[in-house]
Amino acid sequence: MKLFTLLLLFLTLAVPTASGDVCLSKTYYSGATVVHEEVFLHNVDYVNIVSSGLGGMAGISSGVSADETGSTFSDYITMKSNGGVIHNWANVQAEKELAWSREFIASKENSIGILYGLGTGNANAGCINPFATIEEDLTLIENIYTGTIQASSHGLGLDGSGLRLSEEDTDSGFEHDIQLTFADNWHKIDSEFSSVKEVESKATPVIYAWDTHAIVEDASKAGFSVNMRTVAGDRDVKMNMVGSTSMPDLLDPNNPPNESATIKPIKTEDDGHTTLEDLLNTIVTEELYMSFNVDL
Amino acid sequence: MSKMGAVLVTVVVLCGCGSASWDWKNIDVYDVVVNGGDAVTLDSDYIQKLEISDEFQKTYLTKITATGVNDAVLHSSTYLEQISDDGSIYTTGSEIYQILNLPDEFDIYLEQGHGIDTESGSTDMEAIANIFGSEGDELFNLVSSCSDDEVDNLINDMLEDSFGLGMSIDELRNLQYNIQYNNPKSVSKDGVTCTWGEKRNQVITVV
Repeated sequence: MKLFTLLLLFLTLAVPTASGDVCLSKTYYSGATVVHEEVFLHNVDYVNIVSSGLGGMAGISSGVSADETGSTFSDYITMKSNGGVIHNWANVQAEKELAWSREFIASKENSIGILYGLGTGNANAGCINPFATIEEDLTLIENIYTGTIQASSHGLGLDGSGLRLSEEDTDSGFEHDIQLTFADNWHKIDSEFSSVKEVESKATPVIYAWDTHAIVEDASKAGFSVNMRTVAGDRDVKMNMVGSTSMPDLLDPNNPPNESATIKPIKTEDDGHTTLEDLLNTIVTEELYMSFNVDL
Repeated sequence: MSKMGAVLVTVVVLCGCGSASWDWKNIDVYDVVVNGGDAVTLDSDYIQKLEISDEFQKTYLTKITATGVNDAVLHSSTYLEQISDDGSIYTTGSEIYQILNLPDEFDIYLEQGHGIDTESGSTDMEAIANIFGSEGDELFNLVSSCSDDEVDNLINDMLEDSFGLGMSIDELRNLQYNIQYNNPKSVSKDGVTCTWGEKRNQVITVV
């Protein structure tokens, strides 16, 4: 942190809540390093602080929804240096609330990190360094998701987790696509989950969670995975996961890896009689998983 | 005074050449742990059918009978690994756990069946649990499958076979039956590996 004791310039930008749209475009220079960021905001409280000195630069920014009427942000940041170009981005549209924060450090080691979260809505986020790209696309219905994206000259990382624990009696689901481009090939996992009400008389919630993890360790090793799991309740649950790749010799494009599961609600009598069935409790936990790993 | 029996069997690793373009490995493992009363007997049986041509079909059955047990765990797994002359490696596997906790000492029968057909890409898994009374009468019979939409059948079978059973409700409340299925698959070539699968865990208790 000695970097910050040598500050020659301290720049603080604080953007107050704006119900309209706000666009910000900023470029920072320190030695051979250039940082450029483009930010778009709608109905978001936003703060941005950047410190710049001879030894390098550092910046942190964050934003939260101003209220529950829907918010949007787009955050693009690119860092160019002798070590190459690294780039992070996140575009999030939330029907209710969102939040995110982002930091960058430009010194001997360059890095960018974005943490974001939202409820119902859409998101596209990713990161790039000189030898790989990781990107995810999300559509969420009545659940929550948080994602962390890290980029440096040496590696990339993406971790995300989604969850629905609510007992609110609503349908829900998600679509989540994640793609790794590495060593002249791309690999992709598309995941879907839906929970739709079928039994009117009962409202046992469907609980589910899913995780993504992607890492590019260096120019020869990378991988990513998706795992989704649910505890079935009284809704019709459909889960699906499909893998694809640009390597035709690895996977048959006409018969790609495809895991799916359907869990129907347990049917019960509606006459109110106590039966042995009322005494039985069956908990079904279903899990689908898929991963790609590259070790050249 | 209770006894505990444990059996771990690492069964078969068969290697061969299915055709001019494939090498293959077959790996089967099962293990059993039983805790029970003074008189514990354990029988295990292992039946396998393996058909090999350009594609592979296989059935694998593991079953145990035991008397006077309080709880039992039966686990079996089976894998087929195909190695192509172009360097591709395809692995298809299936794995079953049955964990049975009983309210008292009962005689039990547990069975696990695996079916793998690489031509159709299908994997079937089935588990059977029987609990017998002191007169040898069947108190509880539950047939479960990893196939989709089987939850209803699971419950219906259980109801059909459990009405009029010899256990009291209080005894039933201390019974727990857990079935876990796993169906891993992978393909690997030129340093890239894709792995995928499905796990299903069914826990049945009396509330």
